[in-house]
Amino acid sequence: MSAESAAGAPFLSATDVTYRYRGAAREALEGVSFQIAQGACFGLLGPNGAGKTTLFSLMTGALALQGGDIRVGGVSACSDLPKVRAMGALAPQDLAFYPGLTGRQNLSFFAGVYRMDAKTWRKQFDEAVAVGQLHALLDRRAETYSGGEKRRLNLAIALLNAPRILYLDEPTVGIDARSRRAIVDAIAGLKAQGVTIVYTSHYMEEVEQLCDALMVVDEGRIVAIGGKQELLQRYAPSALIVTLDEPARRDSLVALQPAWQDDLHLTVPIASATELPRVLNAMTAAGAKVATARYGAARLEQAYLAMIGAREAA
Amino acid sequence: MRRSALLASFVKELRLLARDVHGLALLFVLPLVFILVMSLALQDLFEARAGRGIGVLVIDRADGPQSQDLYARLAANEAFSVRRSETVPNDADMRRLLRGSANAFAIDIAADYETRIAELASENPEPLVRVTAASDTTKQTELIFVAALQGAVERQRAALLMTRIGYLVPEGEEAASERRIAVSYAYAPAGGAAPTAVQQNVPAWLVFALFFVAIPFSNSFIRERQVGAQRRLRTTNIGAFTQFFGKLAPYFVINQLQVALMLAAGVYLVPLLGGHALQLNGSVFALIALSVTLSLAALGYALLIAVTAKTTEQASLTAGLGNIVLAVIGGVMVPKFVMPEAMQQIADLSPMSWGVDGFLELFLRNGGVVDIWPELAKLAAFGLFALALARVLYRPQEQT
Repeated sequence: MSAESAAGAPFLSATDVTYRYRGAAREALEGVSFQIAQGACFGLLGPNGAGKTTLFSLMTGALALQGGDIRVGGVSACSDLPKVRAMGALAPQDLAFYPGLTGRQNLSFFAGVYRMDAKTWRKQFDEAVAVGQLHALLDRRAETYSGGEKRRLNLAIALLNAPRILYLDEPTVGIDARSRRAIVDAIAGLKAQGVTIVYTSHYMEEVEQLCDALMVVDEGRIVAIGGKQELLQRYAPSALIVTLDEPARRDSLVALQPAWQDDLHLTVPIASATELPRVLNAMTAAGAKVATARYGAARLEQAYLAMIGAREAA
Repeated sequence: MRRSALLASFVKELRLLARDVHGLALLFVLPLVFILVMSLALQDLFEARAGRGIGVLVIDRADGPQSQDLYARLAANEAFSVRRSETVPNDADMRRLLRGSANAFAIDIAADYETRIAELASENPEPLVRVTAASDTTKQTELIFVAALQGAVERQRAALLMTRIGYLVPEGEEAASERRIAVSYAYAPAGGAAPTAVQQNVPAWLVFALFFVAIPFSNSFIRERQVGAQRRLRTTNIGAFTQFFGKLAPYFVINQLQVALMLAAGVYLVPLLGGHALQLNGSVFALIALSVTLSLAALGYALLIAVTAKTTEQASLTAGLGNIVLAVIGGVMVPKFVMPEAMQQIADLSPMSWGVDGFLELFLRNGGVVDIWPELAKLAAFGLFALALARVLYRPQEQT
């Protein structure tokens, strides 16, 4: 299966990528081909063990290709891996820095790894610190940071080499809603600056907000690929999206069976518009103060489950 | 100017090390304690073996040329550590002088020694020399000492009598007689002497300490892998060699500091506490070469453990137990020269043994690079092989 993620010249193109781990019974990835447009945010979705991490490792150059090719900015990973690596940066799901060092020392070490000159270091340091909102934290050891602060440092390190393509592997996992919002806003800002982003997350709300194009993989193969709107329309036509004025108790809204929920947002699947009054009344009765409510927008959670379901049915 | 990835890695590792003050202190304090305790505790045992002379206190009532000649003859004998008494004690004082001192004997040279030494048939029943043995002196030692003393007196008499009849003893005769009998030690290398406590223990525990860096190094390496930093680094162009050497270099510096500190402890600290000072004999260049190759071997061993162990617990256990096994068979805990022949051959398989042998060759026999060349070669080969093997074993981890 092959598709171009969005309009515009592809910045990254994968052709027939196949990878099998030593001793594994089957390929972790098999014949995967896709393209990502310059400046796009490309969502990579799939259940655990689907092959997302392997694909990330191949795109970032952490793993060497066994079959097929990946070209980044026109450069083949098969022929010039160092150049491909130099164009990108990874913020892995693990907090990939040194907890015993301060934020500044971590940034300094990775700047050394990227062999920056002094001028570039100063510029990139300021930018990374600003994006990660790390000013007040720089001289504290990273092990004393909160979960959200650690995630921001993880992201800031990835920004040090001014990547043209940024690979974000679940950058908001395990943090509170406010920190998540800060990171999502930072990523949106990078996207606005023209950085190409490859993004994976289990938080569908974020993926839906940030991504222009999506690819769903399962068992090493592409299940679905295309523009976000196209996939949403195809797989999940209706839902009510609610933003609250203040955080509501989660258990008070359980009766509505939301498809997705955090402190201030929830998504309620509904079959038709006639159900809207019932749902809104129920929310008011539960003490939730609704700030905005949107109906008619497709929801990614539904779409994703529909895509995976369709594959299993097939 | 561009930043250096190697330097960044070096600085990062130093900073991480500095955070673990207790672990770092252990690398220095532990071997230092071993050196002090073992050097002092085993001093007497090593002296009995390694030949510090039997203590002899000489009371020279004659104080003439002949009694002084006897003193010189005894002093020339390496079996004895001869000291002249400042006073002329009575019997009670003599017993007091011997009690609790390092002297096994006191000899009392008679006041008329000068005249009676060359008498052919004396009617005087008084002995020329009286020997008093300390309470802890064994009968065996007494018999050997008395025989040696008898020999010295008789040789002195013979020389005097021959002079009296007009025969001049040729110059160098005395010295030549010393060379007619050669002694060697079954437990020491050919022609070599056995080390003293400090000569044995400083190199032994020093070598042990160098290999001990395997624990903090492998722990640091595995933690880096566990937090995902190594995966992130694999997406950059830093490369495995820069990564490895950036991490290893601070430990090399620590190894060199360990060598300097332990040798300084042997030279300055042990004597302050009543032990013998370590003599840094041999070539300085050879000492540096030995220190560098030892560190290479220790770091190769450390990297090998780091890439093969899956958890920090596993690495600590492997490195700790491995070190103890290498130390036990390598002549660190039990000196090689007291081992039976078969065990000495097994000891030769341990890199720690190569290191200790190298130091002993330098300190005991004034060795140079040529003398310790086999040890240097073996240590370097072991280190390079371990580093290469670690690189090969790390490759599959780069594909996961």
